[in-house]
Amino acid sequence: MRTTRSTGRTGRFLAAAVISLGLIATACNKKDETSSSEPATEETTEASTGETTPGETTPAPETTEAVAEEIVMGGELVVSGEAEVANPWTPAAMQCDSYCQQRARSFYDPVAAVGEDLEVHGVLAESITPNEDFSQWTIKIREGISFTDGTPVDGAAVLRNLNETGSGLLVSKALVDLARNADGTFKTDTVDDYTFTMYTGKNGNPDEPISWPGFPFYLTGQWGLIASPAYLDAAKADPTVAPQAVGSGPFIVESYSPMDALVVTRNPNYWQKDAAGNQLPYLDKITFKVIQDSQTAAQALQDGNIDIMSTSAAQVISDFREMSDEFPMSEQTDFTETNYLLIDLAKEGPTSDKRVRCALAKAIDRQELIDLTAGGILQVANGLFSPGQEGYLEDNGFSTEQDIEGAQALIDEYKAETGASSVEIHYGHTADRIGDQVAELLKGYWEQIGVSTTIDVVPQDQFITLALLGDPSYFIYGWRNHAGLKIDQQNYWWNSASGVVDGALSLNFGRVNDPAVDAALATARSASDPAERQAAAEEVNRIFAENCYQIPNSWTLWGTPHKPSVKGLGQWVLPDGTPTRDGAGFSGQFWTHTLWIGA
Amino acid sequence: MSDTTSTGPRRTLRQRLHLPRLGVLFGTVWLGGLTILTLLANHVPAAVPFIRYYDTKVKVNGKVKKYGFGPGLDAWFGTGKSAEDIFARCIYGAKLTLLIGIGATIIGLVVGAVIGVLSGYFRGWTDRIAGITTDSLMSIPPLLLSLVLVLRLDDLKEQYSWMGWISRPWQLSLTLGLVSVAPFARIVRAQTMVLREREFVTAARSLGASRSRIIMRELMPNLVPAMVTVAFTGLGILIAAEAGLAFLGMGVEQPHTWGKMIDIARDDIEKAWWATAFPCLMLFLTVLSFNLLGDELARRFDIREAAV
Amino acid sequence: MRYFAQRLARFFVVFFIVTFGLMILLRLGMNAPGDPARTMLGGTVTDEQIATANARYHLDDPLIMQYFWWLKGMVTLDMGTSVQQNIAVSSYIGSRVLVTLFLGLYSLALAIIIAIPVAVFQAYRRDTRRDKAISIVSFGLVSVPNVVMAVLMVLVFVRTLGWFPRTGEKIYPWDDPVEHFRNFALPVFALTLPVAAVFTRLLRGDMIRTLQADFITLASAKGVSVRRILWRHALRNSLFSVLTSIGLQLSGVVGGAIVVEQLFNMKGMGTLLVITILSKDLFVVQALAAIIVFVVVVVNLLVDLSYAAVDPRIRQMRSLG
Repeated sequence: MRTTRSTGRTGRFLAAAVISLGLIATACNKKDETSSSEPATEETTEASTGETTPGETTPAPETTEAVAEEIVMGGELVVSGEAEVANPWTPAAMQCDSYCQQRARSFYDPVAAVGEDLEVHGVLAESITPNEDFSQWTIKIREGISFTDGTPVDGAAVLRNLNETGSGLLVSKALVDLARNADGTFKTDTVDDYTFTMYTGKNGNPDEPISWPGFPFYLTGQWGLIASPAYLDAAKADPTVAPQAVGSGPFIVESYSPMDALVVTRNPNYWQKDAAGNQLPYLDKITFKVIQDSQTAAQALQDGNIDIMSTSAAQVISDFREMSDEFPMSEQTDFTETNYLLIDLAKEGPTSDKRVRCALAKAIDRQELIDLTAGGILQVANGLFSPGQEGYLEDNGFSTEQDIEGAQALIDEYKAETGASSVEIHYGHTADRIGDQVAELLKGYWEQIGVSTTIDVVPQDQFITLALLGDPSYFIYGWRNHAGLKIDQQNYWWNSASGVVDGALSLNFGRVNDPAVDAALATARSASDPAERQAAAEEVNRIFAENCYQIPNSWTLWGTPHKPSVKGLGQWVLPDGTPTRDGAGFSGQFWTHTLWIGA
Repeated sequence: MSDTTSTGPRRTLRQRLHLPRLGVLFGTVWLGGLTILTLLANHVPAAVPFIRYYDTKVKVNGKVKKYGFGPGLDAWFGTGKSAEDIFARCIYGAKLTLLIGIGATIIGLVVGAVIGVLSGYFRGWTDRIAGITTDSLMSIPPLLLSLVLVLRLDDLKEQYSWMGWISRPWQLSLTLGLVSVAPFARIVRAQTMVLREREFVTAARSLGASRSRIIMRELMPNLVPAMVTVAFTGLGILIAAEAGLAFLGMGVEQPHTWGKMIDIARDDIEKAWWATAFPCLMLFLTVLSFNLLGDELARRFDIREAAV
Repeated sequence: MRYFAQRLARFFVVFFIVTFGLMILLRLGMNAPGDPARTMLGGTVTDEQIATANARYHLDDPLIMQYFWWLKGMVTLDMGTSVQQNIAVSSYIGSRVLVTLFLGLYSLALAIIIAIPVAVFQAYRRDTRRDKAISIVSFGLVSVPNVVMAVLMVLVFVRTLGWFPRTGEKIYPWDDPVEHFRNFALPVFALTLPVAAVFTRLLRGDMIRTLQADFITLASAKGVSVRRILWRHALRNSLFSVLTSIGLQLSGVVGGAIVVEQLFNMKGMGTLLVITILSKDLFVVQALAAIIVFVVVVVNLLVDLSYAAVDPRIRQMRSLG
């Protein structure tokens, strides 16, 4: 009896075990059959695509073909960024920072983009051809592309955008050397429906053409983002339409909730396919969230609430370096921004004296600053030109070491000569934690040389405005700027033609007014020999260093940590076959065309 | 809170020695100690060599390190984001916290007392108007009003040069003072209405004393106990309010008050817990002390409205 | 009835005064015609843009007129447009209102739910060691500022125990009740405990007083059970102080919610308020403030009206019969 029972029980147990094994086996088989993800090929690709070790830049293009085979279409991505845009989303009105550019490029196509070779290649443009002396540029737009509302992307649409965006307060200053008609629109000649020619002209004067080899770079920026004219008209009539942008990009705007999320869905009729013939983009949907605090975003990534983020917060990057097996991270160390102290050189007071400026510069212990505010991982900067930029010099004459005695001597000299009994300055910064910390540390350094500092906290939205207008309260601002590749893209920041007086609008925030700088900038713009342009850029670097026009502290680092399941970073190939380079356009930016979600 | 006066033959040691209750003892010692330390640290640093300077960067093995030390012998409360000594900062920050709290309490009490006395004594339309005013004030959550006021004062300060003296500490005192007017007014009004009917007041009235004389000579002195009591509990609340404002970013720039210290370190709670925990502790113990003392006073003067 | 009408009138008067006052406060110092527009749009605007904004938002009308436009809008739920984000204020703040609403409601409700049994117990076991211990704890809780409470929650439950997430995500109960609970638990708890302590102390005091009343002695003599006395008779007559303080506590909870939302990085009205006040997005601030004030004043009104129901004298007489 007992035996039977136990056999019975055991028998049943065994049967159950077999069945469950069978089920498991079936499940495994099912998984193998239906899984479209990847066998070993994928793994090696992943390894070689590899998320990089610090110091390296985004991967080389050879892996493009290997990846294209096993891509999973569909999938949703959640991205996080740190700042919300103001005046979304018409290209003319939006005040666009890095994350804004990142998002805009998912639903707008630019006229051109910077490729792996750091040169300009057409996106919407099939060709951008100069004449012999680079004073005329003929742009031919690809045929057959439509905006997502059905209207065609043709020469007229592109010109409409270029004119509108180009007449915005800030952008127009950057394009000061493009010839304009009497009514303010750019002087252009229409060759056919898809082709038109633009002309250069000193200060907009069509009768004074200049040679401008670097002009196409401007088509890769905010100016080159092309929106549907029908949408632009609608947004003009009713500004509440503006957030529902209509472009020709890989994704379509579904909804936008400021400070919260921008949701874009796949554009099923996007005009590009990948090398294997798959319709781009791969993803079905992207949710771009705004999480202002980088630590919070980092936590969200670790908790699984977001898939990928780009950040320049050194502490976060440093943390993710230690988690590289859980969260691969690509880093950008080339042509990044400089963190520096922007000085209003036109402001009457101690800062208009070179000795005071250089003393302030010498008093700073840069390495300590970086250790305390950036986890020690940023590079000490000697100028506004970061490694990889045209004009970068390893030694430009600027001493980055802290030298309290030297600084004190300069201050004493200044006091003796001018009879000033004390040196007081104002330092302004935006209301964020790091800004606070930096301000306090600077104040401490400057106290050591007898300079008393008043710290002003300026709200983010007013910050740029106050610098722009040369507001009375703007003396020194904690600033960050000057990413980019060529010095020509920095021209309007330092050119005295951009304005040198307080109280008037000036993109030349620092009010740099130096004929030698102007001359070098002109050479850098118009010289046809790249070596000559390079030399001119280096000259600007040296002049700035010698005069302490601005006080550099460190160069930023950008990191893009993400879940291992996020694949396809940096894989987009431009229509003419050149691979792109994430970050070459805007620091920390990545193209979304070829992203996909794997296992 | 119920009283525990024992009526039996056995009295506790504390009662026999006429020592105050434990809470009161603690409160007095804490506040007294804190006040002394912060005044010395701010003005006579030589007298407190065990408190580092505000800006000193504490080095770990010769190098400056963020959050280098946890609480321990090198730094009692640990070091913070800029390698500063947290204990030292807590002490330095106390002065402004206390000053702002006291300033706000005085402003609120003075204005509130005036309103309270007038509306409690005269009744009628004075009372109605005052009532609507205080009701309106109390309908706005204090933090909301404070946020708007502090920021608006910032703007106005830039516009009108005669307002230049309104530095951030003053902004906070004025704002918090305004916010506390309504509660103070209410309590004073209630007390006034009670006292109004007491014999000494009716006696003075029958003797033909003028109204102002009655108010100044008879009422006010008897209101003082209530006002002092309410001032203590009020201080506790206002200090907590200042910490909240500082936490949200509206605090004084330098020196950092406890609320701001908490805000600065809040991202690193999980790694460097001491940078938030100790300012929190200071804040709590200070508010607690004021509440303890206020409660004791309320008990002594038998003022129910002011009890915690 | 007359009482009701009086309170209602007062409600309206206070609401108008406060919202108008806030509007004036927000516009103080913006005397030149272009100032409000310039402030909201940011400095890099052309005169043309300012003129457009003035026309659209009636910014150059006298303040009284602007107030009426605004009021009219609020009633029709058209709260204006966020000048900076080009988005209707109602949609901008829509989702955030729910988050803060949940926070506030949960906190107050939980506070009452906690306070009642504790206070009843304390009143019954008055002056025992347990009563004193609870009193000490509640005294301590009352003295804990909101920010400290929130930090404590994080230190204990996130850092040490790891039971709850560090950030309060915007997850609604109808989406995922478990995650909703996990994300809201700590912020709610941080707000609840001090309020619960206040309610407990008030209720305890009132209960003790009530228990000394004649009608209780009578009931006890009649042989009514302790439980019935406590819960049916005494409690009902002791809610006066708690009720009175609900309005005040609500104001405190609003402020507390701002701080707690900030610490837990929640997407609620509080964090939005801080953002828009700093960036001077005036219409949004006005709308948010108005909503908050409205809720507070309504609650106060309801409390006032409910006195009729809870008035000790009336209740007392009823329970005797």
